[in-house]
Amino acid sequence: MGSFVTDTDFDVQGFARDINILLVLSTLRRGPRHGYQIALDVEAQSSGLFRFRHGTLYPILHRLEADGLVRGDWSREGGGRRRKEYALTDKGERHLSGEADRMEEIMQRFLRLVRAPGPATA
Amino acid sequence: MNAPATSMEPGVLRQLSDRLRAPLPRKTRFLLELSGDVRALTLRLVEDGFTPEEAHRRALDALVPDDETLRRLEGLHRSWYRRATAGWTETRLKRAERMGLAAAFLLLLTIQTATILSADFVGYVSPFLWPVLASGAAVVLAVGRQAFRLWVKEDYVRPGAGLKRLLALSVLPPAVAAVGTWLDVVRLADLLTHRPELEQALVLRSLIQDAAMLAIAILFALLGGLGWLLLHQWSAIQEDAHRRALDTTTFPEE
Repeated sequence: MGSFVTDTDFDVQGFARDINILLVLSTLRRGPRHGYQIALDVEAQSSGLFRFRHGTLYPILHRLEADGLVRGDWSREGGGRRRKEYALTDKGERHLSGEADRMEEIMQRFLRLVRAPGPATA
Repeated sequence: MNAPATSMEPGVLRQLSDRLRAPLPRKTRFLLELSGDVRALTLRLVEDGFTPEEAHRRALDALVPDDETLRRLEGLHRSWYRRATAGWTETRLKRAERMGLAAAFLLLLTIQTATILSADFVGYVSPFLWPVLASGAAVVLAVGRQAFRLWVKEDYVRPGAGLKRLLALSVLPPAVAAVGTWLDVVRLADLLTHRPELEQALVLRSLIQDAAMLAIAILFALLGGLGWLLLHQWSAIQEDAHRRALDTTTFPEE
């Protein structure tokens, strides 16, 4: 299997951001959702390990929408109130696949590193 | 048990609107999205067994952005122009914009002058046509400047602010033309008093000159008025949508 990770493309600072993006995209793979549903699903699916707080979900969704990875659609509910729902695009689907592979390789390398046995002591 | 709190208090949205410095159509859409999500999440949490107050508090905590998140949203919703000039200081940007405005003014004046010269009108035009053309160029530029502010730079708190000045400026070309016409008539009367034999030749010519000048001035005024109408209508629609999103009758800055 070819390597998805090069020495230069792993950004430690952006790792948390990448995780958030993958969490949102993987949630949307199960079907279109409103913003709050994405936040709830992520929390439920990860048994509370991952949580979006203080509206941090919105910059992620708006960035993904601008990049064409998700599509935001407005609908009207009872009382004429407008709601926005997000759906995964084909481009988002491809991005999710590629990034999941990349993340897997990063984690494998990381675990190999931290679990490597120390030098044998006499 | 109290009735579930299903909508955000206008105060929370209004405060958020004040804190988020983003162009109005996008800010309005975000506030609509957020209030819908807060409402739905509150209901969902009430169904899960939380009291309405606790559910609403949790929904606000989860979804209402803090200052850091708002800054990220502002960065995302900046106009392409703002993104392209992100490395510029405000002073440098203002200086460049002023220079651009002055260059556009000179270009417009040059085009107008060239048009008149090419039609060989110089011998027939009133001397007051030149200030009319200058004020007309100022009106056209003012419309362009406001359109640039609203639709390219997207740099405003209230889109409708400053548009009344545009309407007032549109009156300038006809006002200059009216004064010019009056002065032309005074000059002509003075000339005819001393040389009545020129009446045949000068009266018709003067009438044509001033009628042409007034027509050009009215055209500029109409351009200014139409520009104002278009920009004002767009701003009014955006401000109204924002007020409705906030569920209030007054604009946040009012």
